[in-house]
Amino acid sequence: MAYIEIRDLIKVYQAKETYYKVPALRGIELEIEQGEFISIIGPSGSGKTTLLLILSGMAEPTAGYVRIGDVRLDQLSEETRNLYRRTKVGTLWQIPNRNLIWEINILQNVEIPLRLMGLQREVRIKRARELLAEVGLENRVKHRPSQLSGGEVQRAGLACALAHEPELLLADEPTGELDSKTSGELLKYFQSLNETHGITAIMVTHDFDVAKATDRLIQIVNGRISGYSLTGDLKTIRDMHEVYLDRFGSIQLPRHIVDNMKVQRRVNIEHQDGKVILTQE
Amino acid sequence: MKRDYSGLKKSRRYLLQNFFMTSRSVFNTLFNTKISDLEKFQKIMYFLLWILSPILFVILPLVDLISMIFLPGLHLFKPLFKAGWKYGLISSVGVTLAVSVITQYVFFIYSYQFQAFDLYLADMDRRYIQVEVETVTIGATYDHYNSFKRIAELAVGFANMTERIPQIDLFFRRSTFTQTFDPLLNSTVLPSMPLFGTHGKLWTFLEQNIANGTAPDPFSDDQVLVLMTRDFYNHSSIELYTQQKLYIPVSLNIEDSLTDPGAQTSVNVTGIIFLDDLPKYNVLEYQYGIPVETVLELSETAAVISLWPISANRLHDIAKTVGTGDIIEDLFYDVSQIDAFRLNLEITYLKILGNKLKESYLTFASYLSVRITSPLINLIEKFREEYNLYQTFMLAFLAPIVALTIILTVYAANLVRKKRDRQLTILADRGTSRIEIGSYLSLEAFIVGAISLAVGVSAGIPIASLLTRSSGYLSFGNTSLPLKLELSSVSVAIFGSIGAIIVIQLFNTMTLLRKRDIDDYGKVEKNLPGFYKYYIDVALAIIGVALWYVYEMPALNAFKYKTARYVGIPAIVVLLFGLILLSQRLLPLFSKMLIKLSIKLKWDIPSLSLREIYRYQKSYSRSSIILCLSFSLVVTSIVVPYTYQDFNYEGAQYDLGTDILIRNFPIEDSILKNTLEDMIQVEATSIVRFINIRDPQGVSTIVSILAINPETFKKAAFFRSDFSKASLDELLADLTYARDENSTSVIGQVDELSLFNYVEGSVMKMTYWAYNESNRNEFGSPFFYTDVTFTFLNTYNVWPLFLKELILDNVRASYFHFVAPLNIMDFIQYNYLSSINYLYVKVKDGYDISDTADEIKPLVGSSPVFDVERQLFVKPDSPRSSILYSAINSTLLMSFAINAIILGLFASIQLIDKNKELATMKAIGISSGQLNKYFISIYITMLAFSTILGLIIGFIASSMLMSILSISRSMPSYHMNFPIGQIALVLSILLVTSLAGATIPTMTMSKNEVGTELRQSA
Repeated sequence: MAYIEIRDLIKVYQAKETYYKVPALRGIELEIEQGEFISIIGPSGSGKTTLLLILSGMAEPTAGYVRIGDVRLDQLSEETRNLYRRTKVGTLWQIPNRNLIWEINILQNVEIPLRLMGLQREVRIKRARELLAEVGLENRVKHRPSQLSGGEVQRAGLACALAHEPELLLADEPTGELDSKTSGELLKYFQSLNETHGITAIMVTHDFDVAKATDRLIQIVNGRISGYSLTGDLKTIRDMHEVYLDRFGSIQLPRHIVDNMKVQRRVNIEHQDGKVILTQE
Repeated sequence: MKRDYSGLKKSRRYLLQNFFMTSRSVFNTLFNTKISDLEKFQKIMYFLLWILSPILFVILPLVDLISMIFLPGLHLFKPLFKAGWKYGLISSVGVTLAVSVITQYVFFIYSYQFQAFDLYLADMDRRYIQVEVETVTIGATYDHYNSFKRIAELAVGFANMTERIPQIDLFFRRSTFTQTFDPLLNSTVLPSMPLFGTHGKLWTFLEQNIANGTAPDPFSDDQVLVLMTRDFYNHSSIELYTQQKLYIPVSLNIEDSLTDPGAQTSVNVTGIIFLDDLPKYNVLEYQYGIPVETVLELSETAAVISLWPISANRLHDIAKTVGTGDIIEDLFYDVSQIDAFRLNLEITYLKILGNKLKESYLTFASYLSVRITSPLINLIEKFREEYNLYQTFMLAFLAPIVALTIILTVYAANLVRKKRDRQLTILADRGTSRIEIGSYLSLEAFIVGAISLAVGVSAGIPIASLLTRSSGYLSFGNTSLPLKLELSSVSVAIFGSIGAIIVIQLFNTMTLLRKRDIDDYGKVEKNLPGFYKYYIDVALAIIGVALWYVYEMPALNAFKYKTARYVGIPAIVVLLFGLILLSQRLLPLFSKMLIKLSIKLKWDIPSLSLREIYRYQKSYSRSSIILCLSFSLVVTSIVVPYTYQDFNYEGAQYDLGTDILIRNFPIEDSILKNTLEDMIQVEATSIVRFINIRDPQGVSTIVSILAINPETFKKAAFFRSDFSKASLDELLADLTYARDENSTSVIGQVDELSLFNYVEGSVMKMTYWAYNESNRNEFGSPFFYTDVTFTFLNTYNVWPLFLKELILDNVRASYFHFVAPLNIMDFIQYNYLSSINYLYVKVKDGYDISDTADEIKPLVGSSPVFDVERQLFVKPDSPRSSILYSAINSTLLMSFAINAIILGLFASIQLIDKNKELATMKAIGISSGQLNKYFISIYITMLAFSTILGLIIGFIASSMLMSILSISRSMPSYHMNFPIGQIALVLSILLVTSLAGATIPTMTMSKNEVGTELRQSA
């Protein structure tokens, strides 16, 4: 049984002060094994962050089935959702002030998840210092986020996210605001975490170089998985598109598929094992 | 790793609950234990547990409750408090202000009500109930004295008020005059010198204060004491141990009495008491005594007094009196027992006592014509009315302040919420439950509330103390009303404040606790706040106008005191808010208009920045509402006192009729009159005489007549602009005509005449209770009834003569008030002792009226001298004025405080909000100067908008408030005083401070390094 199982996940936002409803996820189907390092790519507004929010327990699915380990995220009460967030999952966001409280130092920031666990002061401080040392910030523990560089802030955020030893790490474009060298370092840290601690990690990114470093790559377009690659290489992504089927049975194929197929005016259609196959006449 | 953090908290609660159950069981066991059955050690344990278990009984549930609320969030306290104390401080601004408003208001009101009534009583001498029985045959024995006293004592007993009336003084009085030689005038004079007989405490007091000589021998039958002023002493030849003759008038020519043996008696003067040196009669060991002249109702400058039997003997010696005199009994009320918070109850007590007294005199002595007067009832009622009006006035000012505090709290809470949302979202992200966040926020609210309580109360006490010394507009003189902190006032203030803190902090916590949407940042707040959708502003304005219309309805005129409080003031407050909210609808239009103007004038930066007002209407309109309200309050608190001061002064002049008024002026003393006229400060004088004409039974007064000299009166008296339809010259010409014709033609009060359908030229014939001393010989009584006919020459609206003092003592029940020439007195047969003579004195411009009055006082002996400055309704140094001015002063102080707070918040918003915006603008190349211009043009626009509206709305509110305040007087007209200079000055200070407060952060930040700014505001 896969560690993460998502079936027909739908999320619809109700726009405030209007009657419009915005569908962000339109039926995601996904399975992720424990210890996998996954990257999610896709254009802006495709639903990547929404998926991450649902997996982090910060947003509730409108419909569908979401299971992480033995936790059904689509059936959580507020109390168990909080418990899930504070025990099972760690999050790292692109914007630094979503990871850290700007008014206190990074040691105190890392301490917060440990406080939530009810640990004694000495244990908390020891663990927080260890974590900050792991991300290379042992000399900056008394600094506030505003006194750190971008990379340091993200590393401090990572320390926060890992403080409570989560099974699942979710990162939303963690390298988005970093230079290539710093992002490379961060990525290596992600990989080592994944390898040594066996943490399942899901990372949203725009950077294909970053995506290459992951085990698997998933592409989301318009709220649906539009392709995936088992190697994390973009070239091996299987091309999937959603098209409109009218009541007369007509569809319009995407232009680049038509071009790639180099089809003439007529094609053969075959229905086999629930799939529709187009071949050149 | 330990993950179950809740176990400890749960076990703690179980432990507490078990403790509670145990202590309750122990308490129950103790309750049912017989102490006599216990051993010594058991007894000690019994008492220890008896003390301990109830404490646990109360404390444990409290500890349980506190642990239930605060424990879940305690583990987050340190980092969160460190991260959020700044915001807690901002949200505490409103709380602190609320606490300080409550504290100062409660302490002031309590201090005022506890003490002002007492001081008010001190201002008034007549703190007793008086019984007067006219023409009683006085028995020359102590038994007669005692039997009379007993009647009153029985009534007091029946009314169950023995504790409240611990002392009764009784005396009789007979109006007599004497003959003496005035060495200063070098002539023989016949001054009035009534004969009194008394006993008991009053007599003991007099005996103890004999200046010269000794007390009369109780066994003599003619030894007396003479009470007189030093001035009288200098003007007379009365000496110790000499015989002095007393006479009663037997005809209009009082000199006839000198030769009539039946109209005179002789007394032996054994002692002299000088009224000038006499201490006040301290009837009930009060802090404040009563002058003996007041107790004896002595309006003369000299009197003869002795023990009851001696004086009664002398009275019987004057054969024509047939031994009759007036008995007066003063029932002294222990005013220290009056509960200032239950004045209505006291009035009821007094009324019950009055009825019992009447019944008692009727039952035990069969006296029908008993007159019972209780100046104390009038006094309490007057105090209550004034107090209610001033309290209403204070509430009128307080209501907008409270509203401002609420708006400010919401404003601060919204600001804090915006800033703290991010912190709390991160916490939620890390799995913090709402209970934990709520618990932490409650703890923070508790700490902030406790600090606010301490700071607010500390600020409120000195403000209240300052307000109790308010003696005028922004004047804090040394009035005798110290701040009084009673247990009850302290507890009301503390509990009130705690209540306010709980409400405000609950609101703040709920605002922060609302379920947050992770991406709900940076929303553009176009459109006005939500309530505008429902036309709340229009509804408020309409309700305000409707309420005011109801208040102004002529049918409700009789209840103005009550409607002022329950209809008038709410109308003003509702209308004020309605107008301010309504006017905010103009803000988008105003900013649009300015945008167009700035585009035309090619002011690039302002045209850009003004769009921000249009874009963020919601937040700018909130600021504008507060500024508008605050500015309009400032305007009101300047305009109202200025207008009222004028109104007050005019009112005092109207009450008195002139600058200085001398009551009981010896009009036959032409030398004294000339002396006064020759004073350098005196511009003119005029003699005015006053008499009441009673119905044929002599019970109630039908007509009050003021007799004047038309020529001199015009020069000495004060006239209001609306005193009559006809001109003053026309009216005075009418009076001159009446005088020259020797007629009983008069000028009447227009509303009184119209009530009985009299018009100019009408004739009114009336039968009245006449008095002629010569009738006594022939018919046995000087009283009889006869007719008089008045012809109405003209009418007046308000005549500057029927002063308040007269109204209180004489003409309260008059149906008609006529003005006539002096010689009308020749056509009316009246008891000359019941007329009052006045001298009006007009002071020249440039001279101080009070100083002049002080100079006149020694010249006129015991005649009371009133002056317009001391007559001011709201005297600068009177506690009565304190509440009015303190209301105004507190409003002004609060307005300034609120303005300062708003500015502080503005600055905070700038510091917190605009950081990134400023840095970004600088990053795209906008210079510091342009940045300043950008923001300053927004502030100027906002302030201009608020100032214009504040001025207009403030003026409307001032007019309405003055209209309510003016009901405390019978004067209908007043002129709004709009001190442009003062308003301009105060508003300029406010505007400059506002502008500085708003721009300084902008200017400071615009100098900072862009990179640092951008990074720090991430």
